[in-house]
Amino acid sequence: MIYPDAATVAAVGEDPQSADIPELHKAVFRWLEKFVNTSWDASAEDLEQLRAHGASDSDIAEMLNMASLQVYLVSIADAGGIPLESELEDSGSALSEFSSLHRDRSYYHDRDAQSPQVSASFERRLQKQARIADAGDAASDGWLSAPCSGDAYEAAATKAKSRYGLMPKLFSAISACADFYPRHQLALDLLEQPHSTSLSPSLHALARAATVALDQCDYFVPTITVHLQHRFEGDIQYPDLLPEPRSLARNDQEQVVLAFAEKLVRFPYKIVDKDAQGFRDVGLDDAAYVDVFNTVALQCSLDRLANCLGVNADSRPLLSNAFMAATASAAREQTG
Amino acid sequence: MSFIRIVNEKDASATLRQAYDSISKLYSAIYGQPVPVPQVYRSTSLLEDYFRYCVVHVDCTSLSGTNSRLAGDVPGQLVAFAVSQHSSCFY
Repeated sequence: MIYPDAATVAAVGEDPQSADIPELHKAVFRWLEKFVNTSWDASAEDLEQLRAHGASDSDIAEMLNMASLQVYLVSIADAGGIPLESELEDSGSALSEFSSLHRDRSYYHDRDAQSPQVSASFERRLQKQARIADAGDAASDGWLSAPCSGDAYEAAATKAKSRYGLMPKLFSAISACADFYPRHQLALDLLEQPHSTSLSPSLHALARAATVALDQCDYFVPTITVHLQHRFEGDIQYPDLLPEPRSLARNDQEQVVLAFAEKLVRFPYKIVDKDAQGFRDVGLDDAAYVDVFNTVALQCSLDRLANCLGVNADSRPLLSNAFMAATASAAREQTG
Repeated sequence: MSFIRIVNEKDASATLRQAYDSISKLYSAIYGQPVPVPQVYRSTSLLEDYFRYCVVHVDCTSLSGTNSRLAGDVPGQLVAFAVSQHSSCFY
């Protein structure tokens, strides 16, 4: 168990900053609030705060990986509307010491959380881009020390180079904790295309692009730019999505997908069964709904990881060579 | 009740059932007792590609069923809880 008694666990559930827990844990809670809600404002100083309390870069890399994966889980939990283990009889579930704190959806639905002001943060992001440009390449490889060695790293590099011709900076930046490479690579693979017959490639690309825009993740902008080009042939470009992706919807299905993506990125706890019904109302079935929420959840998890690692974009889009070849072929057919 | 159709073990295809078994085995190894697949992963069961992703997700998180992520100066489970709390996630 992490904490010695139920009272401490309850106190953490109410307000970690007031609980009798290590200062490092309190610093982690503060840092993860930024990871979840305003990752585009992350800075190297955030990691210095953790190091000041004794965290190593290996610890921080592991925390970032775990946080990234948990972003995926909370997204699909809210989007799917699945019941809690405690709501099922004889579930025999594995419960963590925090499970007693689980509240039902209504506890969160009534919350009136403020979404970060997108336009204001967009300005700050431009300033951040300017600072990075001024700092030059020294600021481009992330804020963690990256050993870039070991069997797991080499295996990941081999796989990535076969797909992209390079080892992504995102992967190198977390090489201090190499446990999660198979997951991150698979996430990137899945994000290239839809996985249901009912969600069109263009709607899938829109959901993915909207997520990157809402997360203000510069790392994935080149990837999304090419992805949109392949699917929309210039009709929709990445800057069109900012600051409100759903403003460019051209039909009912695009409106529903973009509105849902925005809700899942910003207010996942407010998703209700009517959101899934909204898909059906415009001719998109449950498989399309699952496809969209997985796309958003996976992209979100990588966006926030990249934002909090401080990596700049790679020298080419993180789309497989096969995808790029198909893009080039389509472009030749169009001009031919 | 979930918002969308769920495919549980008894209705699953052979490959989907295999993925269910894999996740259950990983959790059972972590906790040292039989554990059914947690509810959260079932939300993706309609699309096997994503459900198979969940196998990899759990495998990485648990280091193939050997790590409960409860140890260390900042246990992984604490990070997971913090993300859930800041996400206002009921799960």
